Amino acid sequence: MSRLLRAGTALLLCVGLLLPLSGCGALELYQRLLIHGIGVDRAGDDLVLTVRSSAGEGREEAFSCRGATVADALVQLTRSTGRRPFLAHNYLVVLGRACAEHGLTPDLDFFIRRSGTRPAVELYLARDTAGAVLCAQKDGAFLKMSQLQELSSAAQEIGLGEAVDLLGFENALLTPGRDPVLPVAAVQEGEVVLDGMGFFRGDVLAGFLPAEALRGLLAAQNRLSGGEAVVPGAAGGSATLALTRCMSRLDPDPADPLRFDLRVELLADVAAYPTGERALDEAAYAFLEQGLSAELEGQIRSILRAAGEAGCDVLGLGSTVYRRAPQAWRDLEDRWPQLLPQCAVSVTVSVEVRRIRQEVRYSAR
Amino acid sequence: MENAVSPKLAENKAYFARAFAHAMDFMLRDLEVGGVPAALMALDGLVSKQVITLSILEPLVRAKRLPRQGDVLGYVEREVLYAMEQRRETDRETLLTLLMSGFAVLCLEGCPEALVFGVQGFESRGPEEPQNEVMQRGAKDGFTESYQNNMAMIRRRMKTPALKFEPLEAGDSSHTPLALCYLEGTASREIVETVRRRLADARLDTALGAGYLSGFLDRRGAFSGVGQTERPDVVCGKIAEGRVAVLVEGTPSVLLVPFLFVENFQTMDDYLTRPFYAGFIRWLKYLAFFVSAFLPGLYVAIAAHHPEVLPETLMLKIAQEEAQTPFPVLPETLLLFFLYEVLREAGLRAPKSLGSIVSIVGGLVIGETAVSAGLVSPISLLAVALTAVAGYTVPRLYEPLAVLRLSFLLLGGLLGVWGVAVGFTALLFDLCAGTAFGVPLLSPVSPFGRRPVLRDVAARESWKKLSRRRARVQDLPGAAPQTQERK
Amino acid sequence: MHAQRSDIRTGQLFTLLFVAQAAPAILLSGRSTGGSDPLQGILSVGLTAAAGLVLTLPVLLLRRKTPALASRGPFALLPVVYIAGTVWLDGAFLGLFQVFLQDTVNPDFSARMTVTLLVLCAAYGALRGLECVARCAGVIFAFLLVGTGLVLGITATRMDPGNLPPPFYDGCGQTLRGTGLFLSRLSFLPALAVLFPRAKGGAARPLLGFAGGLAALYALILLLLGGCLGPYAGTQNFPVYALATLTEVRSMQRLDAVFVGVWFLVVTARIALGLTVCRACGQSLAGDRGAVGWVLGPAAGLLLVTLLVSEVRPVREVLLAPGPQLAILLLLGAGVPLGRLGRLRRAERSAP
Repeated sequence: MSRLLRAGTALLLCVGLLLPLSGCGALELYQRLLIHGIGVDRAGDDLVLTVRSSAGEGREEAFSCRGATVADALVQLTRSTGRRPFLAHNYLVVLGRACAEHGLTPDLDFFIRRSGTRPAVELYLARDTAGAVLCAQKDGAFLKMSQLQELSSAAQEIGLGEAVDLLGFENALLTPGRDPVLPVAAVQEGEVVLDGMGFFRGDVLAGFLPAEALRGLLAAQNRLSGGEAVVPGAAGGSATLALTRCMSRLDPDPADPLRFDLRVELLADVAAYPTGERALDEAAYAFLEQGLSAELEGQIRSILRAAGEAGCDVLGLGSTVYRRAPQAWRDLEDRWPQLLPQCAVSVTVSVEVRRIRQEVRYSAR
Repeated sequence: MENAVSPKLAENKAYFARAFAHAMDFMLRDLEVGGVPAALMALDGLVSKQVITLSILEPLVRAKRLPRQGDVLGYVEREVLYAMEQRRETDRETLLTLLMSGFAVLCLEGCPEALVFGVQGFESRGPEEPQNEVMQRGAKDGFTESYQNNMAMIRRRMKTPALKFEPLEAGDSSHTPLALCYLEGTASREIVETVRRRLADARLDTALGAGYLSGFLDRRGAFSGVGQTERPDVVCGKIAEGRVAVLVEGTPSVLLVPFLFVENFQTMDDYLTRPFYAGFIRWLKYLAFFVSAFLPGLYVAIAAHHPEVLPETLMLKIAQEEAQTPFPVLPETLLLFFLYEVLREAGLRAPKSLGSIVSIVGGLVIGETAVSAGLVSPISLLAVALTAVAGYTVPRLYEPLAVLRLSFLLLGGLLGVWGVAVGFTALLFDLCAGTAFGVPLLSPVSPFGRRPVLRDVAARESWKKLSRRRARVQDLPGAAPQTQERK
Repeated sequence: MHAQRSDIRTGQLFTLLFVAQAAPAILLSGRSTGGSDPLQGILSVGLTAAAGLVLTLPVLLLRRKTPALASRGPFALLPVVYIAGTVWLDGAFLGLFQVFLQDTVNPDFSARMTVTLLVLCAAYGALRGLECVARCAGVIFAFLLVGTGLVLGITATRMDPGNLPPPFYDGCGQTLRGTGLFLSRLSFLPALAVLFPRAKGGAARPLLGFAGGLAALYALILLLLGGCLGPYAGTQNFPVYALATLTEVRSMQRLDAVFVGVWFLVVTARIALGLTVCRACGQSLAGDRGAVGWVLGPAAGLLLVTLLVSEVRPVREVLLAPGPQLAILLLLGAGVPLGRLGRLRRAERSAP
């Protein structure tokens, strides 16, 4: 009997496991729409999605779909293409200006909730429409998504922009005393370039920071890791300094939570110096250091002014108070956007250009 | 007794003539030994006629008159004959077996006993390098079909009186001689007794190979607790660790018990090369085992259910290839495995003259043409090929790997990586619960023993360290050999 | 199929309990920690570890006096209570795990079938015996360390102290709430009460290693949740999984499927432990007969509870409620052993 019971159990298990063949109906990869970029634009009450996907053999294709929400628009996409969207390899979401001006929380909700999406997906803000950015073509071909995706991280490496992903954006939004920023993508002569950063008040776009000020933004946030800065040389012309290390520290005044002290320390190397009779001496180094520190201080102050007037705390002054003086923050939290323009930030940038005492001295012929 | 040797020579002759009626290899030589009628019997092809002539027939024929009283057979045994191996026997059925084992039998008129002489002279091949256990640095001689030669090969390497060869027999019809080989004082008495009992209880009509008997010694489960080897140096190494070997007449491989899971990854070369290289090769084998067992299942699971794990470039390639092939990834991989197993079996069984044709048909026609015709994708073919090649680094595990691969393939195709994970856990349960003669199959990994693992599993210590402490299988963590029935 | 009953070492037992108790870590969220402050969560974990050590004392003391769970008199039906409690606790956990699979991971094959297979596999392990399950847990422990270490180590590179809130910003309430919630998840207590008599060897070091290691694991996960995910963790139902999706090594960008695969091993070990407890309880009632029934019966009950928890909301709310779970854990894990200890001591005092 026990043998019969065992045989019966084994048969039942086989039938039970194999009969539904739950995995045999799995979609094959080519039956899925392998999305690696999504653009979201607002058109009235609806959202217009621009979707970039790979068509195989290096070809790329773009689709457009419309719906009340991102999820709804993707359903329409399935209806029109016959393929189910596969979002796991979606590395870039471009948000249109209209979405940003309306408020991004409803549009980003899909990417936060949906299984299969990644919190590390990069976000861009389109200067105009996300569709224009994703559908930009050069010589009749779409720009490669992999290149588009790398724009912000490359910009951050050279100190001319900041890479922001969904995780970073949401954390900036949810952290008290901070407002998020996004890199701005624009189409110029068929090419997509990153042109500054957009800053937000909450999830609503409040203004733009020019590309020229972004090094200061990164330096103030202790995220400047490299890049090269061009500064006037002591003998005239322009010198190039390679930035190697940056450390910054933002301290609130214990007595006055609206006063801050921002200190930035930079270490740089001379990458290029205008040739001339005058060689690098101590005075030349000091000139270079002064030039770079003045430039960065100017950038930081301009950011504080522009964002502060809009009530946007892009440098996280409020979050510094929140973390270091939580009791004081309780009183300021509700009025912080109004108090922000009154914050006084003492900015000190000190630059050290590395002297190696072995500089090549030569004169131009 | 009915089967006792009769004092009447005619009765004995009639008995054997009846037994070997219509057997043209039966030889019976009538002669007189010192005036006493006698008969010498043997089977042609099993004995050395030259040895019989020189050491038995000639002295018998030249024998002086035998005494009429007293122990006539004893007189012949002591004073007449020159044979090294001779003894008396009274049971005619035993004499039948001995005749069929290459012995010669002498019956004398008036003696209720027969004399038996070991004069085997059947043709057997000389020791050759084992084809299934090729070693770079080890000895090049392997076992042959004669278990006596095999015993000699072991004895030459282990010159100690503690080396024991116990005679046993298997097969009601074949009466296949066996020899139980172990080192007294090193092997566990309980293991020896258990092996002896299980072999004695084995009900077989014929035992034509070691494989017939391994079933009676083995455990149930995917992984065997009985090892086989064709190498005498391996047998010597194993019995020095307290294991028991079973030599079977007619089989060039020897059974070894208990056989643990980690031993599948150990070869003789490991102990003949430098420790760092031996350790590297061990880990390569462990990795190859996992690749061979899990790669097909994981490939299908990831391609079908978890493509997010794939790098984008690879994912796009797979998607492109899937679009061009007619089958989903699971049936495609199953088909490839079926083809591979067919080719492998054909390569094994095909006559040598056809071997190259099998390679050409398999490699070029099926492999290349199937891909270019778009029947299978190159990536699937690569996965299967890698799996197959990886499996050959641990040839002892080929059989369980073939089944495991298929199981994980089905699980992965149906239930993704999680199905593979659950299957792996079931396999772990089987391994962790398994014992071979009271020794846990996964020992010394589980139960974990730090010293034995470091000694010869995770790495191989130098011989200076290995020789300091004697390692016996019954001393491994969790080992509790008991005299037990087969589970 | 009947494995011989054999003793294991205390180190093996606590390794098994560690693996089983680590299983709920993948389901950690603000709801299970009582709030979003990771530092208070870590404090709760520490307090829970200390409280857990205290709660194990009756079991440790009881082992010296009696070798088995069952007894006569008022404790005769205790094994049935332990079986019911184990089915409830493990079934509730597995139901939540199934919800996690369906809701967050959302495979294109049946999560229910996968969970059924998991339970069957665990039943197979339980039928092979405690020693088999314990040894297997040792191997799974190694996988857990390597897999979790790899994933968490990679995600740790995204640690940002700016994501951490100021400690005790909202008061100490989370610490107390969190401690209560963690205590209600200490499912190892009843298992320890049933299986500890079958373990040989000293208990102090394995127990401290178990408590310390478990506290360290949970503390590390909470720290990474707070430091890497930050407030984003509060937007996720199962933030540990979201943390795993951050894992990227060059072009390998989504290793969360592998992470969940490793966790499947852990969950299988946990369910196997539960079914082994049921079998041990059954054996204490009926001897060695009917081992298959004492495993498959509770396994079926477990699947039923899993189905109810995952599909029926009112049942889910009742079975997952921390209050009743804490009550049953305290009763089975500490209350019963304490009661038996008291009874034995009274019997000793009144003996001539």
